[in-house]
Amino acid sequence: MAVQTPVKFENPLEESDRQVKAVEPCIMVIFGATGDLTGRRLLPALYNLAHDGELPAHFVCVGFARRPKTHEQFKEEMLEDINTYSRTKPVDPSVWESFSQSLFYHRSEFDNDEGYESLDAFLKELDQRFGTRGNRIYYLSTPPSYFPLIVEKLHAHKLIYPHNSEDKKWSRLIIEKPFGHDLNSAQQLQKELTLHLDEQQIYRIDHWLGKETVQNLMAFRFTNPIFESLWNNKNIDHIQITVSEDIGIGTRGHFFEEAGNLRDMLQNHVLQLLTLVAIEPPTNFGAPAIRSEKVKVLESIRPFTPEQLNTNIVRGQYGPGFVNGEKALGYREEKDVSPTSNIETYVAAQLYIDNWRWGGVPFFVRAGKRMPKRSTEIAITFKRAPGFIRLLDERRATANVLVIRIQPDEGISLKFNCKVPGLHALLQPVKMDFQYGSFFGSQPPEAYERLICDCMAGDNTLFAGIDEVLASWRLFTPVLQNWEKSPPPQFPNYPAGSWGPPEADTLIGRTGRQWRLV
Amino acid sequence: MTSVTNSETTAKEARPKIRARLFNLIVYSPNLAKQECLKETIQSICARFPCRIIIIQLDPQLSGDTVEATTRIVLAKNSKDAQPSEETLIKCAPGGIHKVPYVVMPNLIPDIPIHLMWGQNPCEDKTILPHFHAFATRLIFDTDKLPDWQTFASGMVNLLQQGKLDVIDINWAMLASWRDIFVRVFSTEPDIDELRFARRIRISFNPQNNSSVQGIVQGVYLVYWLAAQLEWTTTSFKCTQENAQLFFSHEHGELIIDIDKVTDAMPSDDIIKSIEIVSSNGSDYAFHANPTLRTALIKVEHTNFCEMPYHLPLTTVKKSFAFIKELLHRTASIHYRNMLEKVVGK
Repeated sequence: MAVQTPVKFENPLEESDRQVKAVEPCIMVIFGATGDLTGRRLLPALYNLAHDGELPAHFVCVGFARRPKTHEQFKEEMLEDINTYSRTKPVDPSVWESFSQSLFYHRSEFDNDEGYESLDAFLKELDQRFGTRGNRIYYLSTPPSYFPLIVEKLHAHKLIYPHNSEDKKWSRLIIEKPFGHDLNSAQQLQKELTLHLDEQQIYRIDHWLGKETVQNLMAFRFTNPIFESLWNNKNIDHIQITVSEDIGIGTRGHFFEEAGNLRDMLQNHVLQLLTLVAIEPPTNFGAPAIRSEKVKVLESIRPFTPEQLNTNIVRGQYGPGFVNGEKALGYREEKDVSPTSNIETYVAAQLYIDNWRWGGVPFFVRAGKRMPKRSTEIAITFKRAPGFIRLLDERRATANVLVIRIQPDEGISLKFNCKVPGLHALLQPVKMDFQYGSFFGSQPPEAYERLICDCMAGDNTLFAGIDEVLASWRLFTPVLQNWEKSPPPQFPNYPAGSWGPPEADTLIGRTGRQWRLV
Repeated sequence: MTSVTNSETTAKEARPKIRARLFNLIVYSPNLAKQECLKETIQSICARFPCRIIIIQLDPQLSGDTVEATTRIVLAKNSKDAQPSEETLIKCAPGGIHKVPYVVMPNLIPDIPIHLMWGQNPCEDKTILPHFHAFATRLIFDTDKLPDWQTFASGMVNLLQQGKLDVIDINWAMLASWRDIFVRVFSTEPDIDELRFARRIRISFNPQNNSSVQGIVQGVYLVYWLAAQLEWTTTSFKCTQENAQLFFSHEHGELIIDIDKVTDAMPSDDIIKSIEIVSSNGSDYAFHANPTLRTALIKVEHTNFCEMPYHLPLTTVKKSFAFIKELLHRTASIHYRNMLEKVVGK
């Protein structure tokens, strides 16, 4: 018997050229709802979606955690957090009144079967009350070690459904990075999750992909031929990607001691930026096409040779110093950090992408905590003009640099050379600058708003695919193994408030280049 | 004008200053009352997007072919993120209108979009609009009186067919949220059939400044949009200055649609106040705008059960960012043209 593909209903009222995402009714269950992420990011994001009218018609949020709490207590706590962390303040009472009616709390341990049974009954009751049609998003805001357990329990209690189930209801899982802590653990985690879920149901969130400026990378590259025609090894000398944070590890000591900055920043956020800078134009802007191009970039990054594991990637750890005029503790003095810890808070690397477009162009990437300022940027330095023009003092001609500022002060600038007015042929570098704030005043949605909305709409374009994740672990797992085998000679090796360890300067300096001042 | 637009906002300094300007906006309405309404929209635009605005105003008190121009820097009120915009007001005597394009054109900023905001039916203006057509990017318009529907719709279809610039009808843009509501409420095939074979629809609107024009225009747009997409056949259409009544037929019989003003209307940014639909199988759908929440309350009652009422966003009201985005960044969909062709009778 021939299998019939169900014909998708085309609503005659839907205007396809409006590109309005069809966001379906659903219940979002946040596991670990009493944690930091829920109050700082998730609930403010949901509130702002409600404020802007972007939540689906029927939407419910249920916090799932171990601590005893009533629905009202949970709502009060969330109201306080939204008032603190929301991008729109103060909380609009009329929006909150409507939004809070669909906010609930469910108490249980993650391994308690009765907790899942009662959750199932509760969600079914909410479906009846709110018309959420059985659709589910499970947001795992928990330590990664709980992921397999929670998914197994969800499956055992029929809280997750097969992908493309006949009754049209869906279930999706959002998990936070890091996905595994090395290649083996990432593969193992994937194996455990895909026992119960299809890859299409797994949404690996890297919230940087939801940032307006990161999305603008694609628009900038592929709608401005003037730049795309220069975007290759014939014209570009090198690229620097910098993620500089002025804060330390704060209250994340436990987590950071297990992770380190390579796992926290480089393996995910920085590599995502690198792939978006380096990808070929996709055939279309759907998730499979974009992911395919990203994976090609990742698989083209030259692996480190054994020697390069010590020379082409360096690490650092901040010691005591001064940041923003205030005294800052060293990493080893932070709360929940071992006084003899060898965990890195800074990583810098020199990478090469071996393909036609990028062959020979070094990518210098660095990510560090307790640096002088908070700044994330991508700087594309072009090759200098060939030859010389007699009338101009070309020794003073600096290289053109295109800088994409991801945060803060979002925008794009281009440095070029100009003749100084006057009788002498003198050159002066000047900057042409576009700033989001100056041109578009109003605040764009936060990254989590965009990503949660996309998950509700079933669009996983801005989420990391498993191929990307595994490719990035393949690159960095040998580095982690090397670091484990050979502890750093001297930690800490840079004072808080400085631009990182001298080893990082050596890394780039031996190529005749230097780190940009961001 | 150049020296003002190039100077600082304060009188103390007169050095050239780079100012962010996203587009040129030329605004015109022969009707002063309509121009006041457009000013509200301009304020909302300036609050988000710095631009160069040129307002053309007919001044009957000016004689002969006099044209006067003044320029100032404006900052949108109540908006902490706003960047300054430049506003030029060109007042001209009725006899001087033909000179206006020659005053405007040298002062347009090249390489950025040129948007026209017109407070009248663009098909009627043969004086200055044709001068700007050639280099404008977008024409945003709002009619100031009830049109002869057939003539208006045919003219607009021709204009759209020329394809030279994006044409955005303010009333159509304001209906965007309502159209989204219809898509979300009638989201399955059975739901669409309930609407397709409806028996009765009633649309209530808020009059604006004692005028029912916008309410009726938006009501008619909504009705003919549904008619075009759901393939209703027009039987008759009666429209007065205060209300409208339309008759359609479909496979399951007749459909009567009333568009009426609300008698106890409070001042509101919403034009359409409520929509009530009775389907052929007796289900009742009611959508009521709540201006405070910027939502519509949706109530659905079937013959044997009622659904829980719920809210859907109603964001494209006057002054809202969603509305401004509709005006400046969206293109009018094929549905707009389908709607106009349905009015024409195609």
